[in-house]
Amino acid sequence: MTFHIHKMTEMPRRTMLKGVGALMGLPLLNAMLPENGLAAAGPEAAPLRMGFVFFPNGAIMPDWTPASEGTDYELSRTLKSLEPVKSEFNVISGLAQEQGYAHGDGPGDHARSAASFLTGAHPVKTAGANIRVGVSADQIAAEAIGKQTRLPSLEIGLERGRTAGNCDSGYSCAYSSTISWKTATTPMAKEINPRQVFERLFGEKDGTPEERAKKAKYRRSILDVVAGNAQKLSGQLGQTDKRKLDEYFTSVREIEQRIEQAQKSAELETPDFDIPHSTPGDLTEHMNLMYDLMILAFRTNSTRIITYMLANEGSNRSYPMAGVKSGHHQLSHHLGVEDKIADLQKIDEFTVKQFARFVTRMKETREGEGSLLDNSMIVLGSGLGDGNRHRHEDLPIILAGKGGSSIATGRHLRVPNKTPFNNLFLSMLHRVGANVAEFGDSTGELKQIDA
Amino acid sequence: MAAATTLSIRCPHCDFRFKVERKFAGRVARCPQEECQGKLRIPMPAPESALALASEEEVAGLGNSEAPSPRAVSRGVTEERTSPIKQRRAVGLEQARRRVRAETKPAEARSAEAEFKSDDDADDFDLDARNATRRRARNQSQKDNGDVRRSKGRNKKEPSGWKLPGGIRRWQIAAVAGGILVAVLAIVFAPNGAGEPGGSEELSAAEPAPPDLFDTKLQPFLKAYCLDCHLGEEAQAGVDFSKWTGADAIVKGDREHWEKILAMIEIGAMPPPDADQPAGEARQEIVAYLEDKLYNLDCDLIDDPGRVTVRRLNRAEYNNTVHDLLGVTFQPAADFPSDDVGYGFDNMGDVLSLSPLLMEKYLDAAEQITADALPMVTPESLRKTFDVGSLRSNPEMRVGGEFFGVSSSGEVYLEYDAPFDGEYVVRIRAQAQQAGDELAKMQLRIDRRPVHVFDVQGQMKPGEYEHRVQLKAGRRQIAAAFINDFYVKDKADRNLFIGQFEVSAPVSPETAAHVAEFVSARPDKDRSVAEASRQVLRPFVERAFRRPTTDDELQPFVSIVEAVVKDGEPYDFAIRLAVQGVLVSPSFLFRIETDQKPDDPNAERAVTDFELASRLSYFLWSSMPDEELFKLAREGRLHDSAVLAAQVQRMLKSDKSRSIVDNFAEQWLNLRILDEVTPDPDVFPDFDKRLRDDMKRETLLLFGEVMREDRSILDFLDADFTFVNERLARHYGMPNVSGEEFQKVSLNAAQRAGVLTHASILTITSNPDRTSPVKRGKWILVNILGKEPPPPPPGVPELEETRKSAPDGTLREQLEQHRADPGCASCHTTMDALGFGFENFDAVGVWRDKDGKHPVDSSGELPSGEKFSGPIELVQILKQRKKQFSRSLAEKMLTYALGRGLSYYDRCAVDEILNRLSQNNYRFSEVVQGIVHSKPFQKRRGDGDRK
Repeated sequence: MTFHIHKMTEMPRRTMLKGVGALMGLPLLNAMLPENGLAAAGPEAAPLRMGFVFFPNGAIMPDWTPASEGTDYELSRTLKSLEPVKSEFNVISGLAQEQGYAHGDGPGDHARSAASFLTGAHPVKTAGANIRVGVSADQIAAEAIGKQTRLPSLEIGLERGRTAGNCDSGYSCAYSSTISWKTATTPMAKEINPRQVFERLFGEKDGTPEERAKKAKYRRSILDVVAGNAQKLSGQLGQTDKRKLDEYFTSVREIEQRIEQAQKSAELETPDFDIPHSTPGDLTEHMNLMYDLMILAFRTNSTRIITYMLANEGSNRSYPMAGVKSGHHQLSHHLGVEDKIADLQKIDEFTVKQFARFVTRMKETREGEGSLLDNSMIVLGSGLGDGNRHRHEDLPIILAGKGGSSIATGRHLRVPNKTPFNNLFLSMLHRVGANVAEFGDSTGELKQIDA
Repeated sequence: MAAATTLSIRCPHCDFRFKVERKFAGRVARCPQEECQGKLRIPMPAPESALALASEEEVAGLGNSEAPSPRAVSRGVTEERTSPIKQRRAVGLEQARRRVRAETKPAEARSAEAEFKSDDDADDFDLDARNATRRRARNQSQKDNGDVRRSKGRNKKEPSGWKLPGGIRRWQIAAVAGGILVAVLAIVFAPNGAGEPGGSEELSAAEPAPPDLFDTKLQPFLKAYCLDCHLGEEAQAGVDFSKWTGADAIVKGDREHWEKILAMIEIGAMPPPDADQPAGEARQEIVAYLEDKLYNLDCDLIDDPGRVTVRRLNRAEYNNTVHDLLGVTFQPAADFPSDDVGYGFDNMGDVLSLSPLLMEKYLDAAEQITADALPMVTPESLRKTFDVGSLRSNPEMRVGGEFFGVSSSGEVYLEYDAPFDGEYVVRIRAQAQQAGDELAKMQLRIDRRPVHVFDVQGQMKPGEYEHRVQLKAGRRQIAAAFINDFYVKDKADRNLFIGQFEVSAPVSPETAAHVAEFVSARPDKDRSVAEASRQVLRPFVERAFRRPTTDDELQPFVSIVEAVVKDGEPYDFAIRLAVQGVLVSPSFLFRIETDQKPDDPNAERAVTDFELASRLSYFLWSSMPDEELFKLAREGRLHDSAVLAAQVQRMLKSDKSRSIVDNFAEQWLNLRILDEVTPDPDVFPDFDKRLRDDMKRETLLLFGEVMREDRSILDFLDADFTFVNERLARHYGMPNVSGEEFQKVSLNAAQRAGVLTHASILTITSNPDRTSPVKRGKWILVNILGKEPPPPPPGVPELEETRKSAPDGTLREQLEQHRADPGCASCHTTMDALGFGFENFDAVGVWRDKDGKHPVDSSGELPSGEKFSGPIELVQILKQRKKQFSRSLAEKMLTYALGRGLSYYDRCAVDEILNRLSQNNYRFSEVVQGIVHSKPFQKRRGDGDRK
């Protein structure tokens, strides 16, 4: 490839990428990836990946839910774009996330939708003090298998946490802008800048391996020192303060482990992946770039657990590329107005279309005898079904991937109404080897998905 | 002594003296003086017995005993009490006991007038009746407390209460709470002096609390009107009244719930229209009771500075702090994840969390910061340009214009004296005549060793080719060579043209000097690595941690230096690693105030001078304290009130105070929402990102002006000037403004005044395609008047549904129809009226006389009866709500300053701030001074809930 960059200085790679990304579209992943590591290994070596893709404000369920069930069903209007990969996923209808409901806490369904989505827990209603919900499914998995990869988990999104005003009826903004919770009180901040995600995955490759080893070594000694500092301080702090210092501690420890992990494993070649320097202004491009990074992360076994928030809960973003000019949340309270429902359906369709592209690429990414998708479990869903009435049941849920031959795909599964969404998480957690007995209000695994 | 039948009252507003019948004790009334009419609370008279109860022995006994014997108390009471109080006393005993116990603690000065709940908010909306019982501000009382002598000092000497000068009996404040039956009564006033001298009692004796009405009044009310829907597991909206069993739940336990319940009952949203409705009087009675419980606090008893959770630096604070600490020139926090928002602000200790992602960012940032602020250089680095005349070539070549023409192989070079070891940037100007299947290649050589090859781009297009090289100090040869000559006779010829060289060290001499100053000591034969690094690190760590540090704290960082040097690395490198360590330490990243008894909520203390310095600087500057604050803290002078006040003035004048504008004002006024709005481009084609930024800028500039000029905060509401640049002026239809720069201009007094007429506020309170009077009204209620309306009851039809039934009406007609629903009317009457006043501004704040085909009607009437026609008149009405606006601003700013949500006890601090404001022409700096001098700002206590 030749680029006519006029001022031809030797730029650090990432600066180079900036120019490249601006000039070119995204390359095909397969072409760019080094054939290394797992890609070349046999199927038995392929680990299971889990991904959770969240979208806000519910969906127009009549257009989402397929009319018939089983394997021989017809895709609904909204899901049409998934046709080419119809054999690779299940549509699951009838699930509920009960803890999204008020249960005495009054308004704030959007905050509760995101907060309960992956945690199955009921968030404490607070604008600030005592933020608490529960550990999310991805973090339970990360606790169990995260040490096997350089990053225990990856949290990405497209919208920054809201920094203005009240997020939802007296709930702190942390609830609506996070689905991944490391502890009941520590939300996992998400990365929205693709370049930062890339560097997080593959690090900066400046200097020689020796220099990098040296850097890692000194970083560890710094962490040692500050961890000691934190420990000493902790004794002089009240219980709430201690919790904050615990977050610090935990984070330090995780990075220490990561450095250790990196030193043990062979150095990963940085994939040649073009990535813009700054966050793309175009939403479609941004969304797909993040999906591509998910594939990259899975494929290189950098992590096996990813959560991806397509938008914060209650997001009022407009979708001009889908022909929708009004804000998403505003529209979601459509009160039966046809135009609004039509607009919402367009947003849903757009969301599914990009997801379909992602699933297709996962399918096209070879891994051993099968595909990367075969060794994955990817959930696309929202914590609200009918967003207009804030229903936390009849959720729009798609489960893509065969979970390493453990899931029979290609079906529309209608489970009994209000079956806990958490049953699905339980099934997934067991499959990756996180042997929890229950999760939230789970009543057992969601056996319907089993192969 | 027989109980008096009338009470002598002196109005705290106007000093008018009058008498009222005793039965009105504890109620709120208006002053009979015609010009005054101020609201006040009739104090509880004290019976003889109260004296006994509060006498030194009794009180001391009660106060000292962990579990005072009820018998002892009741005996004391029974013996002396007089009949009118009897009933009350019996029920209120427990409260009285609690109160007396509280009094035995050294309390701040109490004043006689504490009894008078003067109401500065008599101008409130009806909706705001809760303020009617607001506690009278303390300062005022000091002026007024003629006949009762008490002082802080005396209080301390006499923990039992206070000695009474002969002949003057006191009456006690004693949290009148609980005794109020009706908000405003028609009271028959006896003219002053008309009563029998002997029959009238000067109000000066202690009075125990009257019985709480939770069981006798509230419960029956709830039973009659609420419990049908709000009971048990299935309670509507989760409001289950069975979980609240006593008044404590209202005062402390579940305040937030009760505030909402009060609001719902008060505005008539509950009980719902289709349910049985209480009589107006019964409703008023309950409203008054709840208001009293919730808002009528005795600040002498509720004396709680609150507890602030350790605060992680947020992104703005991090950027500012590393800038002030090390002179960093970039914004390292730009890539950090967003700080979550709580209570409207992104600096709340409880909300700011620290994920592994952020920790990783801190580590990376620490590296970038040291590289930027402390680059590994020595001084005297300068950029030097070498034009072709000063270059040499090998073989000798000729110069054509700016370039040496290199037609076959050959190099152009210079001798360069590198002043020190380090990373240099070499930049070479070149162009190429291209031919063949590859670009012309130019090789960079240092001391004849190839270090890099450039592809020279373009056909005879001059360009700059730059490369970073490590150079050792001394004379170095830097050369550029042509290495891929290509020539086919008469067909193809590739040539390279090499022009001027530029060599620069990557740092400025200033930076180099800064580095030299920072690394102030180096190990030598007389000084060990540990000694030298300790000397370098101690001042740095103290500034980074914003307090003195111990040797113990310093040692780990010194150890880093020692270990790294022992590893064979340069001392300078080791120092930078230690700096990185400091920058990721919890003591740097968090603002930590440690306590002796961190988990004892009663262990209260004044913050140290260093803690105060940080509280100040992060409040006003969003950054660390500067040297002057540190100096005052070291000298132990910062807590001195005069010194503190002077520092606040200095800090407000400093440029750094723009942080209040950028961080406080922007969040207070919800201006960050502007970044999210997307006005419909079909309707508003002129709206773009630049205009949006201008809108925000205008409002922030007004705030900045009020702050810097120390104007009245009321100017926010009706300033007759504003700030615009050409684009915004065009948007507003203002002539004669040109350029990008903002300038101060006068407003068209017929159309605009103050922040409510700014395009920013008008836009964030609109829908993408039309205005939203409801949103505007709500915004004013919440941000200007400090009233959060309750959320709409479930099942309310939205405007669109109503629109269907009146498709052709104006927005106003549609909304009015909407309001026909009594469930909506309660809130919307006020909200919509406020919003409609601004209908002359479209959804992006442009003035209009017509909305579509309908002329704009921006007139209206508030529930208080005030009428207005157009935005300017409405602004004037709103400006009368000084107290509400000040309270709203003061509460928000106190929240921001403390970094925690406010609790009920903070109302006392806010009241004092308001008092200060109203006595000082509402000057901006008074809010800040009031906050800085407030108890929650100056004190702290252990974690946990106080009993």
